[in-house]
Amino acid sequence: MIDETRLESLIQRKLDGELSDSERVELAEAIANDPTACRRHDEFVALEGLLFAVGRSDRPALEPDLSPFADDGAVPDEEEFLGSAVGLSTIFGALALAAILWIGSMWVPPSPTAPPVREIAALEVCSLSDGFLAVPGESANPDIQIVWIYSLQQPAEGNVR
Amino acid sequence: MIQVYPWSEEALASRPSLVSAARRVVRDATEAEDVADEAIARLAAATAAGESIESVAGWLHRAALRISVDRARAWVRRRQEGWRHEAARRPTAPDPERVLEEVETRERLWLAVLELPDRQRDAVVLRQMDGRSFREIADLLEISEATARGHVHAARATLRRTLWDLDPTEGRGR
Repeated sequence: MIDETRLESLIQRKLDGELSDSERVELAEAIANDPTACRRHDEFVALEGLLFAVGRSDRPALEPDLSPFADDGAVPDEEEFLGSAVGLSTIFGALALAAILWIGSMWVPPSPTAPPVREIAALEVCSLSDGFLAVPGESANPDIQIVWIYSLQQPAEGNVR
Repeated sequence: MIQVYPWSEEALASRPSLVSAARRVVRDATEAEDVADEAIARLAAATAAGESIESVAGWLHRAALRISVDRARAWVRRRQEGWRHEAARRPTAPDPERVLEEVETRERLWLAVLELPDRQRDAVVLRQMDGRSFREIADLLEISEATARGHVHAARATLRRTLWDLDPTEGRGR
């Protein structure tokens, strides 16, 4: 069995790419015949890979994840969620909401009630007094007589001829 | 007004290398940039205070590694409680147990690197994580090549024991 100090030295020199041919044979024999040496070799090789990975990986997030599923520490499986009562309720609720929104978008409000058509004819324009005109009109109801009274705008004094 | 120091050019030339080394320790690209800038700022302060600098690149790399380790340790203290939760929140991976183990191993290794003696830590970061040759490490740390190799070997042995031996002080066995 190879001495432990010697074994580690050989493994480390192998990692550094500095093994001679005879040392390479010595290490290969040790690994083949000694399970402990084999395990030790594998650990150093794994350490190489881990050190490389640590230097290239980002550190974990510092702040806790505030996503809705963070409390139980697990994101539910999609099929499991869809088959559950909560999942079905969510789906039907979403469909109902979508239907309401669709119907709402299709509905056109009725136009306000149109007033009765009145045919007003200016038959005669009467001057009531200075500044006022009376214009008789006709309504759809013959019992009602409509008279439109207009106020005339007084021109400024400077503009009076 | 821009102050041009005699070492400015060499410091700027070293900056990408500083960022790369710092990135291995702090594990955050933005913070690695900050570390490089802080190292250069410290160099300015040191020269202004009259400190004699033999190797600007070496001085900057040693400073950047010290700053990186300090920042990483501070960050670890804030984050320590969250790692287990972080590992557990990866249920979509094919084997959650394996993922948990990998994440914990990686983070344990990071902690172990931060706790190494200074020279061993600097050497193993430059060698294993930043891919430097022993010659480059020797130049940056201003030590001999044999000493650089010895630091790396000692660091590897310590890290291996930390990860896989039940008792890190024990020689062989689990």
